[in-house]
Amino acid sequence: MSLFGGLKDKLYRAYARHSQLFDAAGKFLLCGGMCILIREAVPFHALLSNLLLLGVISAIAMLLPLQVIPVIGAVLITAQSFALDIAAGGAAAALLLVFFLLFFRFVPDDTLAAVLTPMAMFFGLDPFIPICCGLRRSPASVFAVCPGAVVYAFLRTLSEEADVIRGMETKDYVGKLQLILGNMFTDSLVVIVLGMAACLVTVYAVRCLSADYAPYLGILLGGLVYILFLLLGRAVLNAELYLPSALVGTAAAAAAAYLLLLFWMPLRYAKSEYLRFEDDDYYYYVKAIPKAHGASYPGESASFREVPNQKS
Amino acid sequence: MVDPERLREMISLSSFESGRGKRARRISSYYRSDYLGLNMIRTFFLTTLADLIIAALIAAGNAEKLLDSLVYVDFGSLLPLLLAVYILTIAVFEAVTVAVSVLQMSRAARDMSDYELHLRDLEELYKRK
Repeated sequence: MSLFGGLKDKLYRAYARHSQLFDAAGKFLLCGGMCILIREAVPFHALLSNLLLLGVISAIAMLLPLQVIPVIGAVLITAQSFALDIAAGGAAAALLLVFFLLFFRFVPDDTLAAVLTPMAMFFGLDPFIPICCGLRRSPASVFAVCPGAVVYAFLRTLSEEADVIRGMETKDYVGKLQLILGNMFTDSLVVIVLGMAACLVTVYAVRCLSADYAPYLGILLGGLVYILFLLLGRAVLNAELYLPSALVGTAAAAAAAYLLLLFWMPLRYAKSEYLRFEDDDYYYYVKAIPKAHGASYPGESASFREVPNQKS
Repeated sequence: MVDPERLREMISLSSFESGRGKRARRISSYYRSDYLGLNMIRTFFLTTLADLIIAALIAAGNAEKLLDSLVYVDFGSLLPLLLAVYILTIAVFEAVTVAVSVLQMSRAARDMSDYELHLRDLEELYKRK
C-alpha cells in the first residue's frame, strides 16, 4: 500500500509542477476516447469518422472547459445519427436535449461521469463509474450516470439496427422510430439504470460511515447491490441480461475502483486512533486514520487539506 | 522583497476568484428568494419543454396506434391523466431545483465568508509591514 501512497505523492508533485499540461492531456484523452467510442458505435458519416478530424476536435477540446466535452459528444452523436436516417437523428437530438434540459444542468461538475459511463459500459465495466462517483462525489451524480447509460443503450441500438433501418422505406419514419425506441427502452435498460443508481447511492452511504474500511466495504456492497438488481430484474421482469459477463464486469469494476482508491486514500486502518477532547461548547470525538505512506518527506511540514464530502 | 506569507494569501485568493469564486460570487449576489424563484421559473419552462419533447417522441413512436384509437378514445378522461403526469414531473423537478439551489446558496455563502476571512488576513499582513 505504501507503494501506491508514494506513487500518489509523486503524481501530485508532478501534477503541481505541470498542472496545465496534465489538464490539457486529460481533456485530449477524454475527448479523443469519447470520439473514438462514437466512431466505433455509429460510423455513419465518413467525414465525422475521420480520425484526423476527431484528433483536431480533441485538440480544440484541450483549450475549452471540461463541461464542453459532453456537448461535443452530443453534437457528434446527433450528426452521425442524422447521417444514418432523419428518424435516428431526430431521436438522438430529442433524447440528448431532454438530458441536457432535465439532468445535466443540475450537475454541471459531474459531466465527466456522463461521458465516462458509456465508455466504461463499452468495456463491460458497467458499475465502475457509479462506484467511483459514490466514492468521490455525491448521490446527485445519479443525474449524470443514468443518462450516460441510456446514451450507451441508444448507441448500441443504432449500431445493431443500422442495417435494418437502411433497409426500411425512406419515408417510414414512424416505423424507424418505433424500431429504435422499442429496442432501446427495454426492461434490461431499466434494470441496469436502476442498478447503477442503487450502486452509487449504496457506495456513497457506506463510505460516509465512520466504520473502519468503510470505502472498501462500500465498493463491495455497491457491486453486490448492482448484481442483486440484475438478478431481481431477470427474475421479476424477465429482462434479457447475460449474467456471467455482468458478474465478471462487476468484479473487474470493483477491482479497478479498489486500485483507484489506493491512489485516492491510502489509509492504514490498523493504526487508527480515537481521540476525545472538549472545549467550553463541545465534546469532540475524533477518529484519526494515518495515510499508508506515513509522514511527509523530511524537511516538509504536514499541511491540512479540506476533503469534500468525506466523513470517515 | 516578496513576502512569502502575503504571496500565499494572494495566490489562494486569486485561485478562488478565477475558479469556484466566480460561481459563488454570482450566486451570493442574489437574494435567497430571488435566486430560488429564478431557478424555479427556469425549471418550469425547461421541464415543460422536455415534457413536450418526450410526449412528441412517445406519440411518434406509437403514431399508428394513436391514429387507430383517435375515433374511440375518450379525451375527457385522457386529459386529466396527462395533466396529472405533467404536474407530477414539474413538481419532482421543482423539488430537486429547490434542494439544489439551497445547497448552492449555502455553499456559496460559506465560500464567500472564507474568501472575506482571507481578504482580512491579507489586509492584516499589509498593515503589519
